[in-house]
Amino acid sequence: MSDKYQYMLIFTLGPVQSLIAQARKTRDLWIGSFLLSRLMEAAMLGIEKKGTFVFPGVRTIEGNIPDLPNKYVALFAEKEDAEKAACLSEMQIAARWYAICEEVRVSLLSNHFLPEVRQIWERQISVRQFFEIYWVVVPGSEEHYGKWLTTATQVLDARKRLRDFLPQDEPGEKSTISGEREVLHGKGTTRQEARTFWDNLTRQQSIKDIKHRGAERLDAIDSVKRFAVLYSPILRSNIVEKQEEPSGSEGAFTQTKDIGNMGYPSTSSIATAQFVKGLLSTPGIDKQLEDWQHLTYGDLAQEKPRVLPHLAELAGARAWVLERDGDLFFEEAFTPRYLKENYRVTMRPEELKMEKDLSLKSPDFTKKCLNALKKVYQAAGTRPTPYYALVQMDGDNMGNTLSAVSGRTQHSGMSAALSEFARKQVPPIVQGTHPGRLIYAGGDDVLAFTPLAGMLEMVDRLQKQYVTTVSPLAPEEKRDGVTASMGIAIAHHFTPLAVVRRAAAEAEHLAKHLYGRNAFVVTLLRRSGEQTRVGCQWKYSSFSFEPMQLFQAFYQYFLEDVFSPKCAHILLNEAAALVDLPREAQQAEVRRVLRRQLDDQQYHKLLGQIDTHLTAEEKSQAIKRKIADLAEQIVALAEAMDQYINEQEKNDPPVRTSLELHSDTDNTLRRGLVETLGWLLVMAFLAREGWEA
Amino acid sequence: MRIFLQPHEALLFRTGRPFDAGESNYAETLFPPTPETIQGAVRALIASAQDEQAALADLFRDAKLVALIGNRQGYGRFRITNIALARYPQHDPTAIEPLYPVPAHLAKDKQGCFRLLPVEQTEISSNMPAGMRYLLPPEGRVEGKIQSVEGWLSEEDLRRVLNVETDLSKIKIEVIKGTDVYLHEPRVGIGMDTATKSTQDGMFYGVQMLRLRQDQGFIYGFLVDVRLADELKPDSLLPDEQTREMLNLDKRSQGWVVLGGEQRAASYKILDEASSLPGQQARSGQRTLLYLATPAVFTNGWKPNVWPERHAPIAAAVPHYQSIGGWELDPGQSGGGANKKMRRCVPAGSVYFFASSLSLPTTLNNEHGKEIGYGITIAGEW
Repeated sequence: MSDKYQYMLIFTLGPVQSLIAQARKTRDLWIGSFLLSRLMEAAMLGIEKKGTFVFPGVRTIEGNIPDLPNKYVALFAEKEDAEKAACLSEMQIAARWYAICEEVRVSLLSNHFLPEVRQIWERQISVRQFFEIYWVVVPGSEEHYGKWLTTATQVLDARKRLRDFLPQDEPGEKSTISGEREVLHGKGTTRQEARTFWDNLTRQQSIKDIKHRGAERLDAIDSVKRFAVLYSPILRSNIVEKQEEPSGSEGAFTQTKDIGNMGYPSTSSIATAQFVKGLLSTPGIDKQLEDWQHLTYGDLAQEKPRVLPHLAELAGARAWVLERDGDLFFEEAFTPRYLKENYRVTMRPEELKMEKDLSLKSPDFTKKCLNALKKVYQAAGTRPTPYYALVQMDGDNMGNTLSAVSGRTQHSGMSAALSEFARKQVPPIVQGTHPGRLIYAGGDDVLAFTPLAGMLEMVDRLQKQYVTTVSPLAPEEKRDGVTASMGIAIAHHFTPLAVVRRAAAEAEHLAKHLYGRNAFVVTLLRRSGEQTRVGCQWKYSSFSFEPMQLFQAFYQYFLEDVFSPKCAHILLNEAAALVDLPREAQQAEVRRVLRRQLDDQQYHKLLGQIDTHLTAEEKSQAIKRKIADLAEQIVALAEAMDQYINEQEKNDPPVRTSLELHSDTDNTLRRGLVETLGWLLVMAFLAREGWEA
Repeated sequence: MRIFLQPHEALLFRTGRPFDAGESNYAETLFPPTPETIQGAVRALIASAQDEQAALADLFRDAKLVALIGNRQGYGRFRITNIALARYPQHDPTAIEPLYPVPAHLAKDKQGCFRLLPVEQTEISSNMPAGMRYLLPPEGRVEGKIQSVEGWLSEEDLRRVLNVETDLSKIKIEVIKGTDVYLHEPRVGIGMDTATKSTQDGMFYGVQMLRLRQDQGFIYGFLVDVRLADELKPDSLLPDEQTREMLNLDKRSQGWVVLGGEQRAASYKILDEASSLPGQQARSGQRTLLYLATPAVFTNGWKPNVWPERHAPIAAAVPHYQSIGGWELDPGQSGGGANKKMRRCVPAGSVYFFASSLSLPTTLNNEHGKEIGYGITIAGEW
């Protein structure tokens, strides 16, 4: 192999939207990502015989986290070798995809592979029909590596401007997930006939894998995504078991050999993770949990206990708690309909005649469960929140940073740093020391679920770790641009996943394109339908603190009832009049409102470790100083945000400004004080719903 | 005959995902509505105009009306010659202007908008379809990252972008974004048991609707140009006045119509001005480009089976395909009907570049739904 390279191959695989974003269950998101990584793994096999990879740094999946990006970059001495490599990648993707599909087909459809099903199946899984593969081979010189890489990236973008596709007509009933492709069905084509087909097909499947009675009806692609984790040894193979690290260390998490055995938590399990953590660690409550344990034993204990690795590490004697899905911690689960649809349990003996897979419980089963659940709440001292968060992170300015790399050594170094971040550093932060769960972590992209408690700390650690890991490997003049933007969607556990996924993606987009990168945006999707969106940069040059510190301080104050959340509402109502007043006047009003909303019983918590020797007057002065500091910080952060707005107003088109917290367009920034107070409202919500154990 | 549809409520243009009580409990909306939705609303308004008291199912039993505007089996002599998002300033309801999707070859960098141009790159290889060139920024143009431009342009701005002699660096192009036009409006509800007047367990549902904005200085709606085909020469269209008279709309200038899902109300207004195809702007001697103002369905996916004058394009800007299906309403039955075939469409805004000047007017050979506004083509130059 020559080490004088003259041709750069960039190869990409899609469609990400169909493979990942079209999901009803959290597991669909995870397996969609896993499939994409598995296929990229196949794409990169054997390329090194004639070429050298510069991206990504690792090319095989090592655990249960899909951490390969959907793109690779390799260098070749000969153009023909580069072209052959691209064709080889295409063939290897096709071979692996068809093999996975066949494994699913044989196990899922063997007795139902009617001619009608075959026709739909073959049309939909066709690699030429489904996949979007784009590649370019661009000549260049290693002496001008940065320019070469920039040119190759621009040519790839140009290639992608023509998204050539084949025609594909999809008649009749559509999949309940994609909504685009025809559902697999037998001779009959009506919705009811498709329902019957899926009812017959899925009777032997676990209710955890697919809704029974034909309530979920899938096309071929959605079927592969849903069942590959159960039926495809190829998808599950080559999983290397990672040795457990010493308990309590940063990386204390394990990865199982078989991703199918590990499972994936539902949104309910993610929302209740902090509540469950409390149940696992609170001493002396076994007696109070006893009734609920017995009532939910058997039919209701279907969860795989390792779905949240951090909780599995803490489980101890109460590991049985982890065998229950999070939905069983909510009263809503204990209705006849919910139990029947989600656990195949009934209290009506007559239903057994019609639906033989049901199991019978006593007529007062739900009443007993609700009583037992009340005792669980008493034992925990609280109720679980029904809200959770989906976090989407993406590195900023990656193209610009790479355009300045000095050569392939530096490019490979950055690729290795990105892989190090994704594989070694993200998992401990998200699911090793925190009860979250990754969907994927590929290069500078991260998508993860998290409970609300501890979320702020988790996202802050992620972005700091990204900068710490990647920045030193970047070209010196571009290091300041190595930052990350993040979108966070907070949603009720019953909100459709597609909505939450889109909200997180839109929030990340706004963090980059409205808030100016190095930013994070939170979109709060309330169950009632009302939405609140707030955004902020991780740092402002004119604000001496990190905004996150201020937000976390208020989160803690609201949690401990030091201030009433009314302070944020009152100030927001006044904000239109306040924003143009002199700084001192704004601070005075913020001080006044904070002082009035300070709880007389809890005020001492404002001072942290209180000095017991202080006189009443000294304490009063200390409180005053603390409130003055907070008011100063709120106004200073608002000014920093306004300064950013002033810079953006010089753009064409200029950014619009608003005094309304709910003026959500993608080119409207709220005035700094409104945005800062919006953040306080979100902190109040997190404190109320997030519950820190 | 030009019709302006102005919604007065939150709208729902559903995707193909099933939405059944107790099964799939969430419905999302598309925007803008597809030609399938618009044609349904317009044909229903024409039918209702014949007799406001009659049920739609009864009206479509009238053979004379069916010959004019078709029924579930066909479109008769009904032709939609243009569909566009539209707006008028709040202070001037007469100044209705159509808005068109941004052409896919328009990009922007730090300096502003510019056109991407076909560039032959013989030294580069890729899996680009044979004979197609790369769309790249003009030499030395780019400052910062190249970004695609999404949204809508006024007719005047579209004309400027499609006219090669307009120097885009010297003018201001106003790009109207989706969030300028509409806001999502989530709705939740729960099924009721009418007998007990209580809520039904497991019947909670959510619908993501959208409301056209009225707080940005404009009122938004949709413009639809409708003509009837000549009975003897189906490729020719009757004049506006004759179309209006034959459809019994000559003495009527406004009314109400149902638009999209959930029976949402919109008003319609028949405009006095004559309808016309958007301008075919290319001049002889200039290289032609063809821009799709509405989605198109081609036999070969991204390309038609026959190119205009048998000249294949040398480059194309085609974003990801748009899947369009719809619901074939059966007016005879409440809630009755069936799913239409879901087709992969070349999205509106796609642009095809030709190496020479084509004879105009011309069009891309759209193979489905020409009658109802698919594949409306505007010529420009590059």
